[in-house]
Amino acid sequence: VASPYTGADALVLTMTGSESASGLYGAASCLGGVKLAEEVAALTPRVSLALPQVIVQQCAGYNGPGAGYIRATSGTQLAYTAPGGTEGPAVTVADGATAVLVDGGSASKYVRVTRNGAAAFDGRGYGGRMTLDLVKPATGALAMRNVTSAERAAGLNLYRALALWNASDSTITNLKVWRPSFANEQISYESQLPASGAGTIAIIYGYFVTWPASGFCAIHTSLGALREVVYYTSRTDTSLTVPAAGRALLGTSAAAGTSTDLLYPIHGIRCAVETPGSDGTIQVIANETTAPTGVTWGGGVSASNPCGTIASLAPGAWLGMWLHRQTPTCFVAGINVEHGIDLQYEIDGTTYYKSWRGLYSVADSSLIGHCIYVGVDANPNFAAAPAAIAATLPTTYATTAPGSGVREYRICRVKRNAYGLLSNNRYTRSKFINSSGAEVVSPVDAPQDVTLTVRAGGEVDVAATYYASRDATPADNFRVYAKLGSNPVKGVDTPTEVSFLSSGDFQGYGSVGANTNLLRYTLGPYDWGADLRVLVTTYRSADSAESINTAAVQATVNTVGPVPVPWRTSLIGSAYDKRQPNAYIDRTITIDAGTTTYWRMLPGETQLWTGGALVWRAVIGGDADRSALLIPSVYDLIEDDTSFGAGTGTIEVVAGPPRLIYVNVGGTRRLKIDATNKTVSAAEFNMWDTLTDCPVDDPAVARPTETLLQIYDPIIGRYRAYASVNSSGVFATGYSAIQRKGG
Amino acid sequence: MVVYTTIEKTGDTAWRWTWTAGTGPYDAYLYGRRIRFGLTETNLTLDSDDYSSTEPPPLEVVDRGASETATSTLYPPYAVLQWRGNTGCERYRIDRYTAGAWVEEASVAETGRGYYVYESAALTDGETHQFRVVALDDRGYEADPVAFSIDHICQPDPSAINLSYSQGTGLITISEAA
Repeated sequence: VASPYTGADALVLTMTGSESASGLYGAASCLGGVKLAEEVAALTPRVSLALPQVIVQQCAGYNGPGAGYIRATSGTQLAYTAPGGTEGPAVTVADGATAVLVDGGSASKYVRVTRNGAAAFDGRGYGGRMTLDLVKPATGALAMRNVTSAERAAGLNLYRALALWNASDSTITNLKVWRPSFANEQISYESQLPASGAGTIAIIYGYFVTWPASGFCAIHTSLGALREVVYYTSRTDTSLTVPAAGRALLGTSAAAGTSTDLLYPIHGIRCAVETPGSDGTIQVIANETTAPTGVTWGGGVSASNPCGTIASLAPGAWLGMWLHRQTPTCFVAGINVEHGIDLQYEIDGTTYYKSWRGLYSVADSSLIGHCIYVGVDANPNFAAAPAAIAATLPTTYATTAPGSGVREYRICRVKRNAYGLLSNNRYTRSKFINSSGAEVVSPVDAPQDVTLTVRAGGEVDVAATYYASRDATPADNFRVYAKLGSNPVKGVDTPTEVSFLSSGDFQGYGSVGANTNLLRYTLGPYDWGADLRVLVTTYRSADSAESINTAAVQATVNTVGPVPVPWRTSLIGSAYDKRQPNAYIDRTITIDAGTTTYWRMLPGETQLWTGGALVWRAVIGGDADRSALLIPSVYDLIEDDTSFGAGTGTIEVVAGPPRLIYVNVGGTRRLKIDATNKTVSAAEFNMWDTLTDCPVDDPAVARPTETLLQIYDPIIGRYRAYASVNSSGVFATGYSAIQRKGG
Repeated sequence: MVVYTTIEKTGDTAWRWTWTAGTGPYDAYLYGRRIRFGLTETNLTLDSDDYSSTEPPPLEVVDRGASETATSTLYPPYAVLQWRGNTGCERYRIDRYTAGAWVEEASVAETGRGYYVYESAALTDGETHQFRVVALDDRGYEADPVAFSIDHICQPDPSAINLSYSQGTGLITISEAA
């Protein structure tokens, strides 16, 4: 089906309008008239890694959203892979020609492309594979426009006319059109709607779980006849709630249901077909809210029960297709509301499927506001309903004074817009109230990140951080309150004062900024099963000021085994706890002798060689700017998430040609180095990632879900990872990856 | 989205997030774009002059091991413009209609790669934003512009708030920060 406008590409959906119409979509577009040349996009491609000569004309809706690929299989041929599909046959595309590229699994999944440029397709590197990120179009001829809050409140009916055009030289037969469903149909066995007004529809089992949270429901009789279209505003797994305003929609009348009715979660649309007159036009409506006259609306939900069937559409002929979208007053506001149409037809004995989708948004200004989340002596629970919703600020929140001590109110305002979208902020601000109802201002900032870690022998490590820069006159100690079985209370229980540790005198806890003070203190040992509660405060000894936080952290002692020996025990004179001088290393680790493929590991450097040529060189310096994975410029990095197949071992060499080196993860080849054609392929490349810290001295370390590539770091005096390949095929480097001549 | 245990200011424009451990690893998103990938730790510090000193940026951390999706990627706050290249020009100028006039926002060189994409900075939710792409040749002559109009809907980006307390009423008043 390489020729355009044949097979699945034979039926084209275009806009309608007047002869002088601009073809650009707008409120006055597609109100009937003649068939315009402008096609309606089924899916919009976002192109990356383009083949410069390839222009994408149309992407079939049957592809579905996701990432599809066009690959140059030679200098003149292209092949297409639909999202989640398999590569189709290669098609020769001459300069200036238009062709259809189909997926290997379905002839209805295709893209129509035009070649614009005589230069041969570059089959290597990124240039060999063009990525199309297919997305559903938002607003437009089929999706129509967004709905304002006022329109929603009043209810809105919009109409559009599109043209179904047989662009092929063959007759299309048995053309069927229907409105799609979001999930499988159910039977209203448990309860049904009354003859009018609000009600609920219920089923036996919880299959509504797959339905949208709100939306249209078409109720059909058990024989398939459309009884009514309703809109449900909420649902459980077994029932739909339909308000009175959600009855009798899309041209239907309210009617009592029966226990054998079929329920479909349909797209909120209906369609009708109009045959052009002898002047080649269909009727023109006055505006987008005026219904066309003299057409028969259909309410079918599948190919076996379509909105309508057109027996035959001659080559070059077209039909007007009217769409009606209704927004009832009870419509639940939202973004990316989806609707569309599905089609099926036969041509030259083959059945093809097509679909168009569009997204629009519906506003409800009553949703605009401020969600107030409150936590008492704890963070707010953002998964629960907010404590209050205010339309405007300022607003107030009522507090209750504690019986004793100090109570902390942590408050976060989350904004909500007219579409129900919430802001992502989670930062809280606090107020402290004492038992008299007076506000308490903390004299020193409270400790952060208080954690308990239970160790062998029943010991418990307490860790916390204090940012001294937050206080004009900082604290100088931590106070640790520990109690078994109940929370410790300041003023009642006796604390232990612990001096600060700062970055200068404490090794092994990573980078610590200036004015940052750490607590590392060990409690215990405790018996197995002990319920330990710990409160940590900061304390300024000069004026006995203490932070006012009162929340304790808890740990249950659940470890067995003896208490470890003290780690700072002297073993050999004064040499204890001294780092050994860094040894000079120069190791060559053979991967495959036959191809002379090996690692060479030096202090701060790991090289990969094959056949006397350098593949890459990882270097690590004293800081991040001098650390990188250096890959010779002749290599292309290719993002390729196709499978490289099963592999053996961690690093695998195929002598070839082409000479291939694989990095395997869990028995699967995840990274491919083609040393002959000079490519490095993986599903994804990432730089500056945080890698698993592993001290193993092998150049490649196999872990359950990743393979680490190691380097000897002379700064820390041990081996660590400079890159990793994980089980998803992500090749990640800890620093930058740089290509330069000679590596 | 993970559950944060603390969000703290650790410098003039530095903020630190810590969260409850889940399956992991974690990906971090800011304004719809992934800024960290595969974090194995349960904390992250960001420091940039772009960040407010009073309100942390709306960081979104998702647990990739639990197959979570960042909501900011579903409703990204930036616009994506895509156009087909014209090898006869030298570069493309991206203008944005601001305060009644077209203002140059970016310039993209024509490099013969066929398709071109421009991602804007974060845009204000609920407003219509207009952009245009103007092709220019090596002498600076302009082609007719191609305009894009975007009714932008995304997650709101809140400003800082103030809290005040009245002992007489026991009420905390929440107001927009000045």
